[in-house]
Amino acid sequence: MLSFKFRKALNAVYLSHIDILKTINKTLRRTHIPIDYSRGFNPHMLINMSQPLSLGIESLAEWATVQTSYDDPQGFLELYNNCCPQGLEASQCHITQTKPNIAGKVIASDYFIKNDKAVEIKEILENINKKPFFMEVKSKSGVYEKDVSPLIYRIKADADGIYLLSAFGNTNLRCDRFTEKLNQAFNLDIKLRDVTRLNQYVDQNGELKEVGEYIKGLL
Amino acid sequence: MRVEKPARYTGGEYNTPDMDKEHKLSFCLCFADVYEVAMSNLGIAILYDILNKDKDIVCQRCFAPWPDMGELLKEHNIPLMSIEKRKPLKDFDMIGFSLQYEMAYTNMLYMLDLAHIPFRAKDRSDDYPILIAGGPCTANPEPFADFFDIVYIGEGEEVNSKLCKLYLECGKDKRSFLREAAKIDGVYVPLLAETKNGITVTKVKKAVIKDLNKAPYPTKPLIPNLEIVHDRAVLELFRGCYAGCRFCQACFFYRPIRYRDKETLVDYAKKLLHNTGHEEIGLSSLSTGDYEDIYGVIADIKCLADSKNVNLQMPSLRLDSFSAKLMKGARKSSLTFAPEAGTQRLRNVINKNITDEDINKSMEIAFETGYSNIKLYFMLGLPTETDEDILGIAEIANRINEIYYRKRRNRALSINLSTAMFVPKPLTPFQWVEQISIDEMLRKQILLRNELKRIKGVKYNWHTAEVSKLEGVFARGGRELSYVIENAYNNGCRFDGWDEHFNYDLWLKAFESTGLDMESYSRQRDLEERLPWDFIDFGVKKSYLIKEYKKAMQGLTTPSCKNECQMCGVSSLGKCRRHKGEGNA
Repeated sequence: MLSFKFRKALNAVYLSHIDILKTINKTLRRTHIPIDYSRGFNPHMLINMSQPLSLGIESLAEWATVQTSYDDPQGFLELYNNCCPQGLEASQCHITQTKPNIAGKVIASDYFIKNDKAVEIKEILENINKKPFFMEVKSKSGVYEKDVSPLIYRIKADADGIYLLSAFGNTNLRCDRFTEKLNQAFNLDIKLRDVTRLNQYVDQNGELKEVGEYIKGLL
Repeated sequence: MRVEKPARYTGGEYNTPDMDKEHKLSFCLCFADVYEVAMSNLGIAILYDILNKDKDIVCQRCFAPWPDMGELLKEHNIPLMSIEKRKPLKDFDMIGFSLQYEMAYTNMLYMLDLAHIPFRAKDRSDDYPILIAGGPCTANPEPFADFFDIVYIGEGEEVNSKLCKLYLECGKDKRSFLREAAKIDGVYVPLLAETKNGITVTKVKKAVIKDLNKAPYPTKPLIPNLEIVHDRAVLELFRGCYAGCRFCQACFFYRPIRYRDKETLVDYAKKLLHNTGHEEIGLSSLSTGDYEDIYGVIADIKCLADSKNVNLQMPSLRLDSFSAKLMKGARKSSLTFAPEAGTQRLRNVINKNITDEDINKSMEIAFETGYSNIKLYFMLGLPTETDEDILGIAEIANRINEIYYRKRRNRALSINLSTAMFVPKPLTPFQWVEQISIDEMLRKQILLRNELKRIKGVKYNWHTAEVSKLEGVFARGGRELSYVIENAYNNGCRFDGWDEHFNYDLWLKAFESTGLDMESYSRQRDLEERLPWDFIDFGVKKSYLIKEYKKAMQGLTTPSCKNECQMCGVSSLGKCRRHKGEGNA
């Protein structure tokens, strides 16, 4: 198994999850490393991606895992980065014997939200999860108000902006909708392009562990 | 997000050439439809590749923004810009539009409007870019000629570089450039052309590439980051078509027939598979099955594709070139056949040389090979068509059903049957023929629909009658139609090729306000009448088209020119490739 961390930046922030998957698929084909394919009627590349990120948000920490016999992490980074379109460059690569199941294990993600006014309401922001904080949530059954405070694990503000650690994965706080709510509630002017995902975390024995560290532990 | 699929506008595709190189000429290649359609067009890929390989030129792209984006640009008064460097269109030296179908004309104006460029060539000063049109619509460029400084007639690969070089020599003096440009084969300058009774008389000769093997081909094409209509590597086998179906403009427009050799094709396939990362490779030509060594090409490319887990998409084949040999090893998704007409009599009229027996035999082979999903294409409203011919379509579907269920099968048969409306096109033996009224089109569609309802497993799709009517009008109209296009755009028409945006009433209003009678364009033309596109020398002689028309009316067929030249006259522009053992024309 080969897992790699890549960014979703520049023009690539406007690519949907499915388009990212297809683009990475093509990039991997261009590397010409031996990748395994399913043996069904329509063979497809055996690849797993981390959970989808809202369109327009930059990320420094997306993950993908491919099933391959190729076992040179440094060589892969060189090959991949020569073959990928701008904005999807890889920064880490790890080879493991077992499937890390990143999408299934990730439970949190942290973001930096650039904003120079946030510091003025530092107190309010940093205590936002101490009491119910209602946000409009869209689901298949319709639109309803939901208390999202349990999904906000930590929030800090300084002169540069907001640092948010929140639920991500099967239980998810959508950062695009959360910033929209902050704009409404506190008259901020956060744009999607001001948001950057910094890392993704898995739960390991009740503690949050950054995905790269978690994979290294599997080696 | 305020716009759907923002990646349509952001660029950043893999294989993007160096856009920052020093250059003397900036070219913007435009396509009057959305990104997904534009990026599926091989012509755009070829021209983009050629222009960017020129050391003096940087070529960028601009496609029609979807209405959500168009509205935002208008709201904020932002001019339409190129994808690569966000350069406003009006700041380019040259803008080239590839016009693929008549219903894109309003979109071309939509793009000019968003780019803050005046529509008509006569209203644009030297400060504006040179506007060029190309593509299959140039078979009759008159309806849009007034909007362009130059119309390329024929193959852009041949003309493009010559024009760019001339532009640099002329030092951006528009008048002298246009005067000189008009001397190049394939270049039509509407502003300078002579007219007689409103019809252009200045002769223009179609530009043709002599040797396709030597023509540049994009083996490092841009790889879109979002899914496009034809998301695959494309290999063009040959240009032109031997068949001579009398309704088909492409068949005559792209003559002479020129091949890429097998060695060249295999070399391109290797490069494409190496450079693109596509999951699929497709073979493209008007009638791929007619390629001399099609089995050899498929075998070699399939071998290459298999080694890289790439699917070779089997081409759409004429029934008579169909063979079990070709189908072996292909994915059994669906098979497409285009008999075009329901009876032998009508197939003779249109020169679709396929017999009922061919259809039966091909279906038997297809079902034995494992196919259970068949796509059938027909046309309604063909010249001399009667209700009997329409019922013949249902009979074919019925017979296919009967052949399938002769044996016990695991799956149910699914037949997707589509009908298009016949549109008389310039440069075909049917260019003189009347196009039936919309009421008659609807009557024929309903007749067929009711008949097909009785057949198990058939799904019927049909083309909008009103769109077909307008296609017919703009295919054969003259320069006066530019006012209808302009009025229609001003009324709100755009993306007319998209059902959800097409509004026939706005078109009716446009005709009304210009005082032109739409029906007068659908009429039968006299064989002696001077037609708006007669000033173009396409190689294929008018006398040949007249001969073919007369044969059609007598129900006589003309054999394929694969083995014997039918003397259409195109050899005056270049030699046709014919199969081994036969002399060249």
